[in-house]
Amino acid sequence: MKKLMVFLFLILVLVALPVLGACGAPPPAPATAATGDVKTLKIGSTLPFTNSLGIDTKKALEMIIPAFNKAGGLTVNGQKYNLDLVIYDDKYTADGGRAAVERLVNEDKVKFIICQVGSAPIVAGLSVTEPAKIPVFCGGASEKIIDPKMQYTYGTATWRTNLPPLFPLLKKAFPNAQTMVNLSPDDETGKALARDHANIATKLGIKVLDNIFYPRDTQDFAPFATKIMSLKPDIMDYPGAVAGTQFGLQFKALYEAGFKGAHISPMPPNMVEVLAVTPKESMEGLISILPSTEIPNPTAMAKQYKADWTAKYGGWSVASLTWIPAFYAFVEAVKKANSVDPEVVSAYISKNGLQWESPNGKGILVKRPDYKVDRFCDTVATLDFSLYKGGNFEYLGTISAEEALAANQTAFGGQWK
Amino acid sequence: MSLGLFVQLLVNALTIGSIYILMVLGLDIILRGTKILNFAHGQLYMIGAYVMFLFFQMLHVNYIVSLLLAGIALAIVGALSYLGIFAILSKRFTVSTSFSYRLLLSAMASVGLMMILQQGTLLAFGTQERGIQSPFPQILDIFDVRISLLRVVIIILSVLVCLGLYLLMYKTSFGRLLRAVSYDPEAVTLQGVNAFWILVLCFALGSALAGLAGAIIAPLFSVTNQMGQNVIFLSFLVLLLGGIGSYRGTIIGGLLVGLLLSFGFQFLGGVAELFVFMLVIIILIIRPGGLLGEATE
Repeated sequence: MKKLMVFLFLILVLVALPVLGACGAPPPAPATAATGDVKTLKIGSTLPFTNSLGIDTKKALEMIIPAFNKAGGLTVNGQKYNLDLVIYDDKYTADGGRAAVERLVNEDKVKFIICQVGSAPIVAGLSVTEPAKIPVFCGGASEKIIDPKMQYTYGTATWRTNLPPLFPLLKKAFPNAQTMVNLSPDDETGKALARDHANIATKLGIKVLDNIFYPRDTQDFAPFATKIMSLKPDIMDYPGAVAGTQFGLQFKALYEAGFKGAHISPMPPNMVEVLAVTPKESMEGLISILPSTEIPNPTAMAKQYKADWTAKYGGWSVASLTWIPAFYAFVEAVKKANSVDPEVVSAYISKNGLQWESPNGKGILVKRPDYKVDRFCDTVATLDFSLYKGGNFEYLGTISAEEALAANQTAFGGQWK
Repeated sequence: MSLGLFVQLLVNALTIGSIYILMVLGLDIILRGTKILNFAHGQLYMIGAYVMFLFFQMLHVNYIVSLLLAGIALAIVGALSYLGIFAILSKRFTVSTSFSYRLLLSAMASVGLMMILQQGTLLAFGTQERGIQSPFPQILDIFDVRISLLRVVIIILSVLVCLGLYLLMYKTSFGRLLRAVSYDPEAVTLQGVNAFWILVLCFALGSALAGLAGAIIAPLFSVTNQMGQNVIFLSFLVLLLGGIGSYRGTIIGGLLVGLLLSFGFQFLGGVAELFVFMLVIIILIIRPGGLLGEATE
């Protein structure tokens, strides 16, 4: 009997050991986990998987980050880090964005969030990332991203700063243009950009006849085009439009209604998608950002990016370029701060600013005194412009990041550096 | 308002109205015949657009042939859906099952079908929007009035489909059978006719109309997996407005909604849709059966 008791006791101990061990087990792997002598730094992104912007940005990140890791990854304080990127679908909506960001922060424990696209999901996610002190390097257009209350959020796209350099080119190409209509989606991105564009246009002497808003899922633009034609504008602006299929439908409707003026778009159009729904003639007179890979003498980085993309995915997508500067800004921020601690990185760049090179050119983090923001939070960057004429994009010129900074300071006032 | 502006607004209204008419005629045929409130009708419309994309844009099949193929494909999808879901469900009903309970269960089953079709399309075609080159890119410029030829073709095609449907329903024995089944399937069965297959054909015909509407509109817009959800809500409103069971009511309802959306947007902006809802509420208060329908079970 005694032997049986001892045997049972031993069995119990053997069974209990793993259970007890699990109770005292260390918490789930932290965002920086060691793999040999190389640690892993977990970063996150949320993108809309329903349009080409999100799909192509996802593909871009899935190309860039493995290559970056293969090339040695990040070295901070002598420690090597490989990046581990987690991406969720934000459905281009506030609800989707907030849910995706909550998952990234609370479940995946990411330390940084990069390359988000739409304002609605970004702004919704800020209520999670700001209290959690997670730096966000994002591309949305809303001015809420650079709100004075934000401390860990950085706008790394040029939506809020690319019009002052664009308008002088517009005036040069269309000297008689006096009036403009904004056609925007009726969401956070569209309304924020329509306000901005209207302000800038007014400051530059162009009369804004109307801001017309449409639901993001609109397909029939004929009623909008008919209304626009009755206003007789010289310039059409599309603040916040996704420059793909829907952009094509807008051009098609305006062309059918007889519009013959200028069009401006700070976003380079995805011509494969656009020309699938509208004739080339409808695009005549479009002044837009020309992707840095398509200018007469692209930088080595731009050439390499295009070559890598083409090798990996076959076709070429200019849309893939638009949102990736956030990744390069994030890498440079960690290097400059020499830390992977989100608070240290954020404190460093908010105070000292940041410059980075990406396939799109140079980016400079700037202050926004016009929004009463005294930390470095917004971006001016190299901008290449083109005019669509005779069925082709005609290169108009390149504005350096420094020139863009000067143009913005003149337009909005204050000291941005 | 200038004549040019009026004509352009009218053409916009007729284009949109005619698509809603085709959609709602399909909905109505299914509802009257099979007593199914088909929430998956929008997805059938979406699949019609994808079939058009596949044949016309990808395989470069002739425009009219592509349209016919879209109609046939959706008729097959509709028939299979009925056989695979609704026919099985209806066997569970007994004589004592109330009409409203049957309608509710069928509607719930159609929501399931909607999800299956939506996810299936998502898996097959992905999330990306697809564009179809216009088969009629010409612009008609008559006395300074610019009208897209494609819009005119869409209106003509819709009128032809409606005429064809009228001939089928009122001038053929099949149409008479279909109408008879919608009134009293038991009585038709007692006459020695297999009402079951008439119901299958009824669902197939309604689905084909949704598919045709999607295929006709596809080159004007783009093809997305969200397009069905956008159109179904207004289709139900048109159905209520015109009156369930009235083809003429459907046509009037579709045209009214098209006119309200087109002219309303020009003068009232984005609140025009609100006026459609208000009109439906007012009509339903005055005439609970809709403009030309009857408020009976």
